[in-house]
This record gives sequence, structure tokens and C-alpha cells, in this order.
Amino acid sequence: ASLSLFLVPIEKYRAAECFPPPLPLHHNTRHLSRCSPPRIVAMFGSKIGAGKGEKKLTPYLKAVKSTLTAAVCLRNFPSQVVERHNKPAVETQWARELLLAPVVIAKNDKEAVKIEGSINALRISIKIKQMDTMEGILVNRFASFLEMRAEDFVILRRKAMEGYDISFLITHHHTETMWRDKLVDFVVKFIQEINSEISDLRLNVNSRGRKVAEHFFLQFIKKKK
Amino acid sequence: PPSRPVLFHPVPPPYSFIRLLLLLSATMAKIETKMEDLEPVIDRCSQLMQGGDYSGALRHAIEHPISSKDAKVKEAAAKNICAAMAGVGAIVKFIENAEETEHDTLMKYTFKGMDIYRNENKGKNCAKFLKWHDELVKKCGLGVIMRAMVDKKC
Repeated sequence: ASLSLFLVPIEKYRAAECFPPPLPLHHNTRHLSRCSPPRIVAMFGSKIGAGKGEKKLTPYLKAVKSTLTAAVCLRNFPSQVVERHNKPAVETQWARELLLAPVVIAKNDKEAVKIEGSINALRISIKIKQMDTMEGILVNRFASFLEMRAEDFVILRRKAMEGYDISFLITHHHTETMWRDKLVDFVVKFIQEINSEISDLRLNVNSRGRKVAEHFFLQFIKKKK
Repeated sequence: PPSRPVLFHPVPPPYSFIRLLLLLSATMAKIETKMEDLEPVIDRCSQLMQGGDYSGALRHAIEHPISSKDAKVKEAAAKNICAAMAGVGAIVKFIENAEETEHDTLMKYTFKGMDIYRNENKGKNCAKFLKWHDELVKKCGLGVIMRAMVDKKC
């Protein structure tokens, strides 16, 4: 998963197709400034003839994407309990009226995403597919590697929630500075790619183990000769 | 100041009477579903499901959505409705025939269903609930998800 999704230069989107000529708009255009360029292209895509770029999502990821798009509506809401403090309501859980009902989207018993929303923050916990103990250890190590560098990651939570492997915390600060749909796209891509990364790591471990065992037993074979 | 709380404006315009009555009735009648009200619904639904009529059972269960703070009531209702949802074959048709308020209820129980069936039978039924989610969003848009997440008494 790369952070370069956020760092795409704006020049890439200054092509003419992102700023269409006045068309009969049936969408509410007041919120166009809040839309990222890909969303504008998606809105007018059928009229401009923009081609399909992305891979088709599985139903699980489609559900995750649509739920995240709905839940990432965040606004600033300073703490009602402590003066001059601004805390993510989903973390403090001090006021029930500021919290949404937590929602779990599960593909099977091994893969799930828990989405806890609130007025000013959103917590996403991901349970990554682990087929055996080896993958469990790898996921653990990978997750702790990322969590140690959570400050550079910006939206990552330093500790995953119970029952899950990795957690994100998106606050209104993030939605104010970054594109909302890109944040959602990032999380979905993360879930997509982490499975392939874990299987790559596992293959590496297996091949390394095989080589080490080969080398180790070579010494016995030579002595016999 | 008057000794009793005054409810009426000195020169009341005609519509505010109705508004005040509605407000009073809403605050006084706290609709809370109890286990006794839920049991006949569950019995009828299990009868229909044994007969194989899952969409009929689901329709019956959704007609009166529960509103309760009690976890047991919520769990029982969720088990009932999710069992019916897991059995329904023609999802698109059912959604087309349902009304808008029923769409919201269906979405709430889609999420609950995924949570319940996650641990049963290695989560094979979750695919059904993902289909429900997909079809509901196709029909109603993203608002239905938001309304499902907002309701905590369900």
C-alpha cells in the first residue's frame, strides 16, 4: 500500500476533461468543490466518454467502499466535556448522541471490517485473512511495523482494536485537508493489497527456510563422502 | 409568571395547535417494543419459514420494526429477521416491492446479519448479506447506509 495516492500532483488533473464546458447539470453543483477530480470525471464521464480505469471490486469491497463513503461525513465538533479540547468522539465515547452504531461488514469468519462512526471521527478496524499460524505471525509483525510508524501514516491508529489486526482513525482534520473519496479508495486498496503482500511474505519465508535447511544438511552429506 | 406552564401562544396561528399536539404525543408515548410483543411475530415468522416462505416471513417481520434499548429484544429480533433474509431467493424483487421505510430496516438487519453469520458455518452466509447490501445501495443510494448507522434502537 503506497501513500503516493495522496501525493499525486494536481497538474495531472488539469486536463480539459476534468473541467467540462457548461452542460445541463442534473447533479447539485454546490458541492463540486468538495469533490475530488476523479469524482467530477465520474459524474460527467458518460458525457465526455471517459474510459474505465479501475478493476472491478468484489461485493465485499464494494460494500466496504459504499459504507465508508457514507460514514466519512465528518465535521469539527469540539469536546463538550473539556474546554478548548477537540477529541475524536469515537475514541473517547463520552457522549452517546455523537456516536453512530458500529457496523461490521464480513466476507467470512476470517475477513471482516468494523466501521465505527461518530460526528468528528471514523474508526475502521480490519481483520486480515490468516490461514494458519505462520500467516498470523506475519500479519502481527507487519501490522506492528506499520503501527510503529503511525505518525508518518497519518490516518493509522497506533493500536488495533480487539479482535482485529489493524485500525485506522480518520478525523475531520484529515477530511478537511485530504480528498474524502481518495481516503476511502486508499483504505479499500489497502485491504485489497495486504492479502497479496502477506502471501508474498509467506512464500519468502518458506523459500528461505528451504534454502537454509538445504545448506545445513549439505555439511553432513559432504562428510559422508 | 403564570403558575401552570402555558402551552398556547396568546394569538395562536391555526397550524401551531397541531404541531403542539404532535410534540406532546411524541414525548409522552415512548414507543418501546417488549419481548411479549415480539414473541408472536417470531412465532409466525418461524411458521412461515418452516413452510419455505422466506419472503413472506421477512415481510411480516419488517412490518413492525422494533424500537428498544434492551439487548435481548434486539438480539431476538435480529436473529429472526436475518434468518428470513438468508433464505430469501429473489432479493431484487423483494426490494422493489418494499417501501422506503422498509429499505432502511432491511439495511440495518443486513449489517446485523453479517455480524451474526460471521461465525456460523465459517461465514458462508455472509455472501447473501453482501448481495442484499449491494442491491439496497443500487436501489436507494448511500443515504440508506447512513440511516441504518444512525439508528441505535434497532
